[in-house]
Amino acid sequence: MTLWLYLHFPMLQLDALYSAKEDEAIVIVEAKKNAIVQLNKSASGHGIKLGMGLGTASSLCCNLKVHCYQNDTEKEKLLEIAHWLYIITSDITFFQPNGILLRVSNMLTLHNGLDNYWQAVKEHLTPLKIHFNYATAYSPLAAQLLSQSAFNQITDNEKKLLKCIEQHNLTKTTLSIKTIEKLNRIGVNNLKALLDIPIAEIAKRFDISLVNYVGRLTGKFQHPLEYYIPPIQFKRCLELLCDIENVQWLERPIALLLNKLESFLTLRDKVSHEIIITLHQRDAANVELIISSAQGDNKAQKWLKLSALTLESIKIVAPVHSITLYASRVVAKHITEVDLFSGYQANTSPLELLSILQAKLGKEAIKGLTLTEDARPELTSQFCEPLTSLKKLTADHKLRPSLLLPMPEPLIDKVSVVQGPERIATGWWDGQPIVRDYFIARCKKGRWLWIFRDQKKAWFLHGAFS
Amino acid sequence: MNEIIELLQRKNLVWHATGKKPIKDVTPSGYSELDEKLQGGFPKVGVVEVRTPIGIGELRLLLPNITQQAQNRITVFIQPPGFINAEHMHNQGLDLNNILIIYPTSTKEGLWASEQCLKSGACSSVLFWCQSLEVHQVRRFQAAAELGSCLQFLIKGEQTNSLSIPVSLSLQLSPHPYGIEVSIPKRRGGWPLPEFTLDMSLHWPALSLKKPSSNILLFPTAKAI
Repeated sequence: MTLWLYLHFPMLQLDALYSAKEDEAIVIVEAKKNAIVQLNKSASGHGIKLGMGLGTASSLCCNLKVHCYQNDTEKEKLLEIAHWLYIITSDITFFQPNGILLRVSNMLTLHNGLDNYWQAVKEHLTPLKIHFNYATAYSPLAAQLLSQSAFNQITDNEKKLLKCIEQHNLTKTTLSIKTIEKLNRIGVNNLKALLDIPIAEIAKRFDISLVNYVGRLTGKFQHPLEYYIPPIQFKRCLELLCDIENVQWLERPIALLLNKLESFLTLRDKVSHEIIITLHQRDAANVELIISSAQGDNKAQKWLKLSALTLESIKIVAPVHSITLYASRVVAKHITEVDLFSGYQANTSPLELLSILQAKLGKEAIKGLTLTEDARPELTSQFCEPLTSLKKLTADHKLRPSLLLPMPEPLIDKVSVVQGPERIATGWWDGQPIVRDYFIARCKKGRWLWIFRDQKKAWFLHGAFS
Repeated sequence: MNEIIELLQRKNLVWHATGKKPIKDVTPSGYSELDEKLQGGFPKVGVVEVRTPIGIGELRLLLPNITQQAQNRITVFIQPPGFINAEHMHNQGLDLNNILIIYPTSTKEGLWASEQCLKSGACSSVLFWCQSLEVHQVRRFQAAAELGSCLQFLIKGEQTNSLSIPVSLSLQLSPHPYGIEVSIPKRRGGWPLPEFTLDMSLHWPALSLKKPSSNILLFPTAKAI
């Protein structure tokens, strides 16, 4: 039989919240039932218990932080946990909204025994800082049942497990209330009594769902499960307990997310070229920061430095209530080779420098230079993505100015022509024809200018031989 | 005591006004005349101030040195007055893939970008077109340049700034029909030099006026009354 491990997260939404202060009493309330579903240590210290109404709770503790229960948050967090666990164990199934089932049997060879396997899982879960209950059993439903009642034991002893399961009251199971009532009427109150009845007998008297339940609980029936397959991309959301209005204070929660990114990338030996940080503002549009690293980085420290530079130049209009980090371009790590004996050892690579500059000044402020084969002077020399390898062109050694004006300007100064004309007549094929006679001229102030005369005999200044 | 002085001398930190030529870490400028005056050329590392009007050939003066120093490192142009022409740079032998042009939106950003480039170690030369700079800013540049072993050219307008800033070398350029008129108001480890003419007609025949040949005498012409 297959052994299963069920992880039950009793306060998942609470664990997912980012809290700056430790000693605040926080509760999560399900609005429909008006019942407290999750509470932290400090809240229980005040005497608040699960299932209490909000009124009772707030009368017990005056500065109680109340959050509404959100299914989506737990779902996302669960996904995150599964993603994180996937490195250790292969078959993961979700039990919404707060459970994860792991198939243990096929991982035992790899981890060399159940104890080692559990050790690995436990240690892997520790950095996430979430509370969980756990239990192993020989069927998914049994593992769920034991885990939800905080069994917290790892064992493969079949008899012991069966004994523990049998002690449970029917109300703890996932059976519908109607079925439980029916069973109670015939004197079946706990699982031991239910399991004592042969399945054939149950099938005679009850509907198929109970038969299925019993079959699955004992592991006699197959339990159809859908296993989790992780996506390659990295996307994490961090909800802030308190809204943050100061941009500088955002750095620490962002650092948390970046640390997660680092472990994600390091484990896969990848680097990210671009991350997108979305700041969700309360009652205002989201602010999206696109931070790119031309070299590609996996270190949280480097990303933090780049994000800090970008954060300097943004403004938020409303308080930020959550932050999403998305690694948009993840590629395999590329190793830059540095020759030990080449003498010069740069501590920053060109691409790293480029990322730093782009993060602070914006992408538009940094330009590269490229040469095209167009004969129009304004098109021959063009800006491009900086530091990209382009094909090598042969020099044709035409005398050209080193500085060009963005647009030719009418010539105002008095100049004397030194050399020329050089006629450039081209571009008739794409609707931007030019027919110009270029001259090299020297103005009275001694500047060497590149001027041209168009067909209407008007004179223009186009550059300087600086 | 003597040992310390010797050490300082060896590190070229003590300058004798009367002494012999100091052996400096310099790189040739590409113009032998200028190299002679500067005892070897531009400093390898540091800040060079160039006061010049735009368009008289100041870049043409600096480019041979920049090209020679590039060696797969980046050349950065910050806040140039106009577009840098790729064709000219390519013809001068500069690798276009290793050029960065930065157009900062404010002076503060320009200063920041300049310092980052200098201290990165990824750049060989940083050309920064700027107006006046303060002493502490230049000090920071100097320190950053040493950290990244990089040479910075501060290209400034011609207005005479009486305030002395701590640069390694200061050049004052003015136009001349055959090239550039250069004077050196300040240099580390040497006296200031008076104005001299740097003949560029060999390097740039098309960009210098024709010299009257020595074997031709101008025919005396009647002056207009």
